[in-house]
Amino acid sequence: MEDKLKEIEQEATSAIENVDSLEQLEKLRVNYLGKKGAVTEILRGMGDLAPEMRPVVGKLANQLKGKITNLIATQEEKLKVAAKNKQLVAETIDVTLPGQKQGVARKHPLTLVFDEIKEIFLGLGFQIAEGPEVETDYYNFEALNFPDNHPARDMQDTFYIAGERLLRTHTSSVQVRTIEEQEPPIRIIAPGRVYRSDEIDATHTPVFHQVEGLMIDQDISFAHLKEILIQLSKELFGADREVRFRPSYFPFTEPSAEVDISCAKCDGDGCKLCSGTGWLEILGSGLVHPNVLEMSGVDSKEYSGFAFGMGVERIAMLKYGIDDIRLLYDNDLKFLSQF
Amino acid sequence: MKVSYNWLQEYVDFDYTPEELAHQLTLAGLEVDGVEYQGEEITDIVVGEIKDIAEHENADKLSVCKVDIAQQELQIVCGATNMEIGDKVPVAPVGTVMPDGMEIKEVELRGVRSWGMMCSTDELKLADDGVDGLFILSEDVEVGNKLVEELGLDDIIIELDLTPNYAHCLSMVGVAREVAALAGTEVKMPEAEVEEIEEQIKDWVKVEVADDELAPRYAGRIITGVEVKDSPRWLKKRLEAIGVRPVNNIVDVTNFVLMELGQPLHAFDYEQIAGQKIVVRRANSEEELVTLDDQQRELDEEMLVIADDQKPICLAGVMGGLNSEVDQQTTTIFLESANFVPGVVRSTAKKLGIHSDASHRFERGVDINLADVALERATELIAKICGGQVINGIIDLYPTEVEEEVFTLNPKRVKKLLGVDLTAEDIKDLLEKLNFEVEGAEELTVKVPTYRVDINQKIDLVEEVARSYGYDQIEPIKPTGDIIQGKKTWPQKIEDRTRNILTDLGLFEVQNYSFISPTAFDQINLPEDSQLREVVKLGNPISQDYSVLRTTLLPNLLENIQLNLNRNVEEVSIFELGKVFIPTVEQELPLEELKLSAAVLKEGLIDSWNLDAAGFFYLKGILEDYFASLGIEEVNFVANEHPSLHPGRTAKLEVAGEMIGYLGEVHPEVLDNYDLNQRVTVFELDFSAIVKAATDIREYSQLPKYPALTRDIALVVKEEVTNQEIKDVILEIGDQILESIKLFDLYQGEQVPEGHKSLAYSLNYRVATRTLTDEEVNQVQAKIEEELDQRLGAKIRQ
Repeated sequence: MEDKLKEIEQEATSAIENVDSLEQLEKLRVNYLGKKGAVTEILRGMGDLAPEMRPVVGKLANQLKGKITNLIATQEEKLKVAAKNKQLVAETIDVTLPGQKQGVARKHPLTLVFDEIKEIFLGLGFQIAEGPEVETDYYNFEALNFPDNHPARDMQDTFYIAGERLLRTHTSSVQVRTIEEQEPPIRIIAPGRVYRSDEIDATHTPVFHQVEGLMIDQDISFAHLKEILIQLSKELFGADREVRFRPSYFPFTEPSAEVDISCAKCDGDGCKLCSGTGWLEILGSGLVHPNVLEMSGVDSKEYSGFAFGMGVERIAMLKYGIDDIRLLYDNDLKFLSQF
Repeated sequence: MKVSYNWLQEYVDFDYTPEELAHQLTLAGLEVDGVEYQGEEITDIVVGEIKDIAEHENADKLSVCKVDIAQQELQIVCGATNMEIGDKVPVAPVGTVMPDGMEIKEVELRGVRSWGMMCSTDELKLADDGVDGLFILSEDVEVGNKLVEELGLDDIIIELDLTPNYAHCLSMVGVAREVAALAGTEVKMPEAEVEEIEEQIKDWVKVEVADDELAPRYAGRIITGVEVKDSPRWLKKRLEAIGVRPVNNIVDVTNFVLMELGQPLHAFDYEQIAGQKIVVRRANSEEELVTLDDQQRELDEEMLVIADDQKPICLAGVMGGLNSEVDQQTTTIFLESANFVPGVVRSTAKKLGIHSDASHRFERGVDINLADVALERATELIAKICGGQVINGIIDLYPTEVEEEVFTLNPKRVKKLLGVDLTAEDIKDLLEKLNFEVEGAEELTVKVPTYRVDINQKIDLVEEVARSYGYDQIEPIKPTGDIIQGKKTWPQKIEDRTRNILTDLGLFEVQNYSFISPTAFDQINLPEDSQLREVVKLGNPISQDYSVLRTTLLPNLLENIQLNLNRNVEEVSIFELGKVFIPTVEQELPLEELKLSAAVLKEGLIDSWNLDAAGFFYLKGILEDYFASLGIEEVNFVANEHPSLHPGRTAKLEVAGEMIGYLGEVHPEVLDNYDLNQRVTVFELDFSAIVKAATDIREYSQLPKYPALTRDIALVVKEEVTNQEIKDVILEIGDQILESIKLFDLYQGEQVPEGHKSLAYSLNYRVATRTLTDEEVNQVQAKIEEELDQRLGAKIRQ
């Protein structure tokens, strides 16, 4: 009898370990442990054994039952894992197939530049000021120290509207309105649309955008202006850009400075983009002219300040390598979707 | 202004290369637009003289020439026909590389050897001389010399783009002063010596200045016995190099002195001055003058003229008159060197549309004390070059002599404004470099040369100190002061959020010009009396297409769609947040209001309700998401009409009971006007209303603890009954226990009677405090069904 059990054990072990499906395994379980299974038969046939043999065989048969149960469980687990793995393999997909897009669109590149400039200045404690685009001659020119009938007015070709009104030629008009309305200290930027009656070509549009900046406090100096504008230039164009200041002229600032950055394309060696100079003009600036402060009711002996203005289109064109300003107003989606 | 590198060296010593000079000038505030090496492509071209012209024995159209180029005589085969023996022409000997890259080689043309090429202006890439054939040079050029030297093209031209305050740099001497300050050298002023004959000028001419406010100085001389002809080569070279066309020796001298010193001069033909009398006066509106450019000019009382006894002969400071022009017959001239105030010159020049070298300088300001200096310089040159005799004496009407202005400058103030640690001594040195005379220690006294017409205030001197010190030498300093938080206003925040939300939802942001064509209103079918046609007009538009400020963004958006379709972009979903301009009677300035507008033309959208209106419900969905995101809950879409929109597919939008704009499909006629053949849906909303309604306030309501019961309901109603009406009834009756309601099907067709439609809703019942029973829900549901039937004639569809 013991031999028979051994035989069953050997046979079952081999059969269970070699089985490769859960159905087969279930069949084997029935064959050995089912009601009519080989091990059950033996246990059931105990009565025929000699009494002294019963406990020995009973123990062995029960051990075998336990062993086969374990074997089956182990094999079942193995088969289940294999089946799962097989399914996973079968479900493999081509991850390079295109995704299902939700169609996120893009902001206009000018908005992106505005956002960047606003963030820089909000971080420096500046507020964002606004003003009308249709302006009076007073705010656009007179209060900015543009003498009447002076060539400085030719620097900006102006669109006129009946009755001393015009489309503002720069956001500097917001400077005046701010100085009139607020007490120093003043720190503002004024982003917005401006207009000049230029013919449309690759570098001119009659509508464009500027950001004006103004800081007024006691003891604001040219050295402060340099600090802020160097920071701005490096934030916008990268820390490795060199920044230079050179004398210029705006009626509403004195001293006035034009700010250039080293050309990003040729790294200052001179190329077509920078007309061979190695420098790119990015903004105009200066200390607020005392006449401007006084006209708007600020004591120029107590307070001083600096102002700057830059063309947003120009910044966008330099940042993104856009070679024709008209692209910004064509609104061709092949262009707009690149940002 | 063009500055000749060669010419400049006559007035100042420096050892900058042209590039270094350009760089130094730029940093001194004289912005350099470019550096041009004249004639650099034609340096090997020499002057040749044609000694013989013979026919080519094998070709009718060719001739064989013998050309003398000093060291040798070349045989050159030539196809041109415009030359004669004795002509001087540009010659490219063998080995020359032409501007187009071609190298001249020794060749055989139809059996005859040719050792070079005679050139046309075109082949040399020079300004076209209008001649078909060879460039025939003037007789006074030297055979064998380099062409570039003879033509004054061996120069380097620095093009300056001067800001209006650099009036003092509008001459060679003016630029030389800046260079001297940079290089630490001295300016060499040209000196004039004039020999006079005995006759007295007072016997020749009477000069009267009627308005010395406008002409604060008027000086002149008379030179007689001049021979008007071509200028000598050196003079022409100087002028040509900086782009001034030589005219004759008299005119050329006046131009030369203008360019040298910056004083505009004018020479009159003395014989043409009626009554030998000159009057500087205002014109009157009956008067006319033909100016030197051959244009008839109508004058008025605002203009200042130089007149003789009878008539105007010159527009003061702007341009001379043809009636007193110096020409070949002229033998005696009256040479004027005057000073006119900027304003009168500027308004005259602007009114007549003239921009001359003289007006350019007078508008910006000319040194009043230069008039006599320039007059003597020009007189000397004319006497020398044109062979005349100078009449004794100078006319110089200069009633109020202008002296150097003096300012006091506080060194501490300079230091504070520039943020640089400068001593009084430093400031003195810096200003003296620029020819200011400075005295004092605590408080500086600064004397300003009269040619510095740009220095009017102390602050102007502060800039001069900074400029002299060098902007790049000023060390940046971080500003200090109160800590201020930079933050956006509420409208600014909502603007930013709007752009973020709408782009995230798939609408691209566009930017259009603020002005449109007045015909745009016809294009979008606005009736004649539409308020949107009340516009702000530009007085001087660049074209009709951009002549009125927009009152709606729709025309621009439709144009954007059109452009994209024409460029093969087939799906266009765009929005613009832009200003419109509304004229007002009460206020000086028009109202500027922000509009939020969008347009969509998109295929393949899900047509949720099978109404062929996918675009409408797509854009409506975007709006619903947008409003929800801004915390705006109370939004109603009410069927309405708009002249630009499809009458059956237009809704007005109400937010918190206030009408804020329209959503709708573009009217088919408008689509036709824009050549669009697919449905386009648009909206246009008042942005300020959105800003007002938007809120950041959010309140948490407890998550449901008890289960919901769902009931579906399918209704058949007449076509005209709206979803909104049905919803309103259901919500009213369901009141306490109805949590939400959702339309999930809309059907029109065979299954329902003609003129009817079927709508299926899913109703979700729930209360926060307990589990609802089937019974109470069934009761409410039955009541809803009953009310729908009573009020809207809705039948339950089984």
